[in-house]
Amino acid sequence: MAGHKIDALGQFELHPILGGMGVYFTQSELMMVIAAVIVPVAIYFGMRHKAVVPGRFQSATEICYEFLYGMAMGTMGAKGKGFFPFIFALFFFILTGNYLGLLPFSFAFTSHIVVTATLAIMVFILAILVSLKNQGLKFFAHFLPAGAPVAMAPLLVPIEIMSYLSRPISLSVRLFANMVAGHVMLEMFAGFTILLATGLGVALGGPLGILPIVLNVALIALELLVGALQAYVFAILTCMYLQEAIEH
Amino acid sequence: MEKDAKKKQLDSFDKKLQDFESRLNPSKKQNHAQLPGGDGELWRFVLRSGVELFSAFLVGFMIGYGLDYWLSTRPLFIIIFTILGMAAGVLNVWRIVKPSDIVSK
Repeated sequence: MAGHKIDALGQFELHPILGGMGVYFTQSELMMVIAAVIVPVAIYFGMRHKAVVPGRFQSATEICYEFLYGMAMGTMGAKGKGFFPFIFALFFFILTGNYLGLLPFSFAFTSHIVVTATLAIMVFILAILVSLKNQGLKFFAHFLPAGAPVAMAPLLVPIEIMSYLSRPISLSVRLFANMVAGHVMLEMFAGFTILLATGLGVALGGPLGILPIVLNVALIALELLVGALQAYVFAILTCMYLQEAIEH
Repeated sequence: MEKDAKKKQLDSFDKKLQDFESRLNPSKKQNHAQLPGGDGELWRFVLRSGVELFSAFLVGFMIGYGLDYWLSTRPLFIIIFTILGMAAGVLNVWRIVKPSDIVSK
């Protein structure tokens, strides 16, 4: 039996890639930079010709834009139009991050809770600031449900506050957990192939080792779905929080 | 005369298009008053509710832990705020599944 072990979490370790420069620049940051560059570049080249009858690239760009615009406007309403660039950037940053992580030798920065928590706290603070700007101190009145007896306030207000505070956590944990789970599963099944081939010998383990690979192909498809879905959920929840901040 | 024929043709085309759209996208015509029913809705509900429960619980636990650390009354506030956090989690899930005809904040 060969000494191979499945190291499912090792893939999330950070390694500095610019060693001698005195800055701790890891592969995670590199991927973030790439993601932040890809999106504007793709939009620039997609929309460069501004053709009336769009080509493939321009169509793709327009479809992305219109899809997200429809979603954001449908959730936030016309008043939230100013936040659309933010939603757009957020969605495509996360989506690109999720998809970049699926490439070989790459790294999914959304699988680190620091990254997702930073994004979520950014959204959370923005929502609070917008609420305070639009509603002033009446914002705090939302923590006592309308029509509830005052005697219940000591119980209801902490619950409401906690429900509010749990938003950034659920927002970040959802994205982070989905990405980690997906990548761990991919690693596990890839590891099974090696274990089978080394443990049972190439004659028996080799053909059997194909099975996990087949499963991995299906998992990659699932990950493509999950990556898009999680980016979408993140964006639509941001829209909902901002809508609440604007409207109430 | 030719114009009329063309207009008729276009009208019938529009009607067909509308028919098709409503068949493809039946949710557009209905009210969204029901519980999470459609496939996409159900998916989103499943993805959200577990995390909501967990994160509210976590918030309660962390607040309790912080207060206990500060006042050195462990485990009094952890117990209180964990229970409140669970309640907040249930409230979060209720807000997701709540039929939209119930008006409450």
